[in-house]
Amino acid sequence: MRDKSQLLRGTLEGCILKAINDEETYGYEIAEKLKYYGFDDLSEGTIYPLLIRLEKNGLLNSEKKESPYGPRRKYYTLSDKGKEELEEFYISWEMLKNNIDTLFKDYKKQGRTKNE
Amino acid sequence: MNNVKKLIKENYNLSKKLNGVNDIIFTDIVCYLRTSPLDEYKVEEIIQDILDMILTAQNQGKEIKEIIGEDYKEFCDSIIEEAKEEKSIFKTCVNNAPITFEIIGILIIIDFIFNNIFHLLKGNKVNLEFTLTLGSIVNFLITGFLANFIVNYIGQNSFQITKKRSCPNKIKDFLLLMGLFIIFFGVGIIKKFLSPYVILRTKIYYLGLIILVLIFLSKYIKEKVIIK
Repeated sequence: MRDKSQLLRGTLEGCILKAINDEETYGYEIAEKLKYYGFDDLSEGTIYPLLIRLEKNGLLNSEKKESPYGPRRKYYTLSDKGKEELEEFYISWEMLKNNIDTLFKDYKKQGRTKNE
Repeated sequence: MNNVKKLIKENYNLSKKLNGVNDIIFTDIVCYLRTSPLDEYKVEEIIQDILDMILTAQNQGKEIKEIIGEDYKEFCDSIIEEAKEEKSIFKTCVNNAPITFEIIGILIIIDFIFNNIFHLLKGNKVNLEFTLTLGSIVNFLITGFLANFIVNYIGQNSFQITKKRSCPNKIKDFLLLMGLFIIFFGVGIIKKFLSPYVILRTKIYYLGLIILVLIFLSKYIKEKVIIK
């Protein structure tokens, strides 16, 4: 379980960028979207510090809008720099994925269950 | 500066919707963040976002743990890590100047009032002269540092303090109170000893003028000069 989160941490920012790329969105929605695609260990609290970092580095633009529960919410979109970063991330990811897949082509799974 | 006050007020009003447990956790988080190195306005923005998260969870019947994890301090630390900015010494001085002026103004007024109370008790007329002694200055410095230290200590340890509240330690609390009394009297004695060393004497009108200047400077810096 530890190793899985290590793996995730390196790619989470790229995944967040993708989620924001699809449509203007806010923290809770981003977390829900990622959870929907299988990242079930995530919560809005997990990604919040990352959103701060991404915005600080100029990858995100934000706009405050009214929300149903009162506090105005930040809605994020990708900046031009963010779109570049997303592209670079996906290129790196594809390369990595291919390398690993190739390496593991002849690997036979030992038949372990998912809950190790 | 008005933006910060507005945001603080907004956050406070919304926080009234929090239920018992959530309110305690939220208060701890707010104390911790406000005594962290983060910039004033950024802190309130972050508090606004966290309030949104907690209220959403509350309305969905979820626990805060599910949204921000079990370790609230760690959550705050990761936020501080990402949001903090390097500030030059000049910027920090400018940003802290208004509150320093305000504190000096308040301490001068308190000093003047207390001196007059003693005068009146001795049967004298109201003293229209303000005497600034070395003792007063030492008094101001100690009071200022002490107040700052206490606020920071409580803020940075807000989570631990809340945990300990469930098992209060009467002896520790008593010692703490005694310590504060000793410091209080110690400061008074120091002041008495250093009172012969008069720095300046001025009539009360000049004092009023100085205080007005301090207030004006403080407001001016807040409106025009504060560097975000």
